Amino acid sequence: MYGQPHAVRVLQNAIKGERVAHAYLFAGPRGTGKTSAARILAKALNCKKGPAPDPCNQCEICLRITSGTGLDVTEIDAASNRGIDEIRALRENARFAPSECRYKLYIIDEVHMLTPEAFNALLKTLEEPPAQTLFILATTEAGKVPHTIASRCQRLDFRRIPINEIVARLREIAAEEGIECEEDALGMVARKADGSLRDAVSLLDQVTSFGQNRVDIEGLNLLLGLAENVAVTEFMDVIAEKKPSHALELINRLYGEGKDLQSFLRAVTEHVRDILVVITCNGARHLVEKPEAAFLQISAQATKFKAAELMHALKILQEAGQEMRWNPQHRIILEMAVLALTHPAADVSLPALKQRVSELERRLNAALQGLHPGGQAQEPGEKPQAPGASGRDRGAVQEPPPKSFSPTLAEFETAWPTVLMEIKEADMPLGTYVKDCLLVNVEDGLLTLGFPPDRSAHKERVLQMKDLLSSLLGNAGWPLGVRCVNVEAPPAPAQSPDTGSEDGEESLQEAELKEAFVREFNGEVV
Amino acid sequence: MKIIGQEKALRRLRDILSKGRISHAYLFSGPEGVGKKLLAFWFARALLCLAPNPDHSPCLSCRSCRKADSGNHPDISLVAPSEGSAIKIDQMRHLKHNANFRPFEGRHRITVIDRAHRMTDAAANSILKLLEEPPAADIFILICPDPSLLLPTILSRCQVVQCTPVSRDLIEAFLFEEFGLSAEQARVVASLSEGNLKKGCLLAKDPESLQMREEFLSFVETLPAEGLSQVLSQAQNLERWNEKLGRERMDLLLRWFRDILVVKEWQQSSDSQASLEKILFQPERLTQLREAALQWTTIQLQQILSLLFFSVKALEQHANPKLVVETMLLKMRGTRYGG
Repeated sequence: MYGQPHAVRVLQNAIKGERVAHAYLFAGPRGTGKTSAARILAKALNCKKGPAPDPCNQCEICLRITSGTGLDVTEIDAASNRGIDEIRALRENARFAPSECRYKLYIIDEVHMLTPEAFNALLKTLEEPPAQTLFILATTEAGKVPHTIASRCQRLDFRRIPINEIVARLREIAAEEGIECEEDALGMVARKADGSLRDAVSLLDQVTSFGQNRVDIEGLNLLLGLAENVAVTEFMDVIAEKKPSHALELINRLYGEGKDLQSFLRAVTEHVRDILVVITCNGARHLVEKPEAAFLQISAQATKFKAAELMHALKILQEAGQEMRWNPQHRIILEMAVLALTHPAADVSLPALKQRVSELERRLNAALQGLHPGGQAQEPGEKPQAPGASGRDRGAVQEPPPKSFSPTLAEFETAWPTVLMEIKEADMPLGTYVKDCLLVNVEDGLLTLGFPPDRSAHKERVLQMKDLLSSLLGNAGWPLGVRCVNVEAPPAPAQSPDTGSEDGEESLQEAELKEAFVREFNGEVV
Repeated sequence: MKIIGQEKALRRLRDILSKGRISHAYLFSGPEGVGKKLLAFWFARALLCLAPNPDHSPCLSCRSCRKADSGNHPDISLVAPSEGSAIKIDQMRHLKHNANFRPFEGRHRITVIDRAHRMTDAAANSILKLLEEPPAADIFILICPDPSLLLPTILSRCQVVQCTPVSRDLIEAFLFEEFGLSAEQARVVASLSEGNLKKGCLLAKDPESLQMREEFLSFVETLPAEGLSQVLSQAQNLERWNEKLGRERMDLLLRWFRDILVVKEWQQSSDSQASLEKILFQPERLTQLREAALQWTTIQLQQILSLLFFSVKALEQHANPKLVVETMLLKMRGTRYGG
């Protein structure tokens, strides 16, 4: 048994303490050893030298169980014998005492496929089985087993086998069979197997029969039609450089080579995840299950991306993956995802639009402040395509800080919602603390925040994070110091930053802006 | 029996045959119409051939090969979903029953399961045990377009042989030789068939559908300029398409707009023309594509493609085809005018 220490321990202790349950449910992903565990348990209980935690594997009974000819150990494939009649027959037989062994065992594999009637017919037998009779139910989908069945069994969950244990086992097998192995290739096999030892072993077998009794990365790549690491790295490079045409050529090449684009997409997604982990966890090596060489490449690429960018990329890639389930035109889907990743104008996600709308607003404002109010200066090419955005973001006009830096409270209040958003993005808790406070004053490069009595806890936190706050303000274009005071009255709703502040002085500008937006977005005021 | 392309898969199978390390379950996966079934039967023949060639291909003249050729070999069987339905558990029970006996004459009994992704859940689960520990003589070959369509438990028991799309040049040459198409026609059909040789052959036999494609494409080209009534009447035509034809039309639309987008991308960058032609689905329409690229913005094209993706999904999920197509065409037209 590999990689299931907890299950092994439970079973061994049960045998030692003679407290073996009369029904077990083995649940877990494919190839993690459920059926094997059931057979080993059968041997352990019935072994001539037992019942022993470790069966001898040499006595007559052990050998018979191994070869599947033991009279008292019955393995039933519930997926093809799934009806009530089969279960009735089983119940009939279960009544008789074991003929040669201590225990009579029924191993019901793929038990989730039994029909509801069959399950129900099994209930009574499972609850009070004849003495010396044991049931072992094995399934990959424990969720499909009725609760009434599950509650009568002792459930053992089989875990995915960790990669290093799979590698260790593969190394053993390779040594036994005299197969030459590259360490990285074994790691790759283990990863591909996704926690299933059977997958790993059968993959090893394939690679061995593919190469000349040798397991190496090259052979694996050829065999699996896998998106090679190289292609994935190249792909991410192209994305980083924002060269859509190169990306299209790359996809064309992969397609022509018969690469499965769906699995390529999965590999890219995994790669993006790894880069993201490297960026956010300061290069946590153990969280990236890749060989050393690949890890170095990932770390190198991590410098080319920002975390937010990658989060966004993950979302696009995931959507593409979803789409592929419905539409066989995988190539076009992947290409569209690539264009969305490389082409800022083709990116219609909310954050990207926000960025472009604020860019537009900045230009518009610049134009308004220039000689000809009315905003003629924007370029027609910069046209975001969400008409709704104009209505929603109207309150969030950002004014560039004046050159001689002595902002007034009114100016700062106008910009506050945008600044607040940036603070929130950088540090969520801080954003929450300052969200409800009152803007008391802006004077001599010092911003005074007022906290009502019920927000005094927030005030303390903000005081602790004062430096961070003022540096964030600086980033947002408002290099101000921060001071916190207590205020008596709770903030009036009109001044709360969520609704935005509009005073008379600005309404004229607002109207012009609105008009410009309506024209620009081809929309209407609602 | 001629297998076009698939060198990699063939090499792999020869390798397996030469080493004699034959696994008991294979999965031949690859896109539609590239010769998976042909390859499976080639492999079956090679396994059973009494006097295989030195390169391990079947001799095609021995008793076993001749029987296989006429579809009479008792040890080669094909399981496939019956018309418009799934592979049922009864078909699998039959397999299991047979597995109790030795093969009739050969060393192996080969069962080809075509369109294995159409197995019902019950059927798929019921062969798990058989696939994992079959009788020594049994070899299963599953055929399916994409491994991810199968149960992971099935997949983990099979060795995967990947088949690739057939290259455009190979299809072109094949159509030119076998179907007597003109060089120009062969080129158009080859690029239309997208690596799907079977589709290429069907198209080559059916000039009428080629004509229809042309007509449809010219409608699509003028779509932005059409009046509302024309668009709706075309939608009515579309609605009359049967399921398969509708699917094809959607593919045509997808490819058309994708090509425009690609051309547009190339107009903005300074990459070479030769590489562009290789990437296009319809290099023969380059002039029209260039024209169209000037009419649309990148964002509009992006939106249209998402719209098409959405519509394909809706049709796949059995939405009312008429509504889907109408909405789609109207929205497409709307995109053009920024409505």
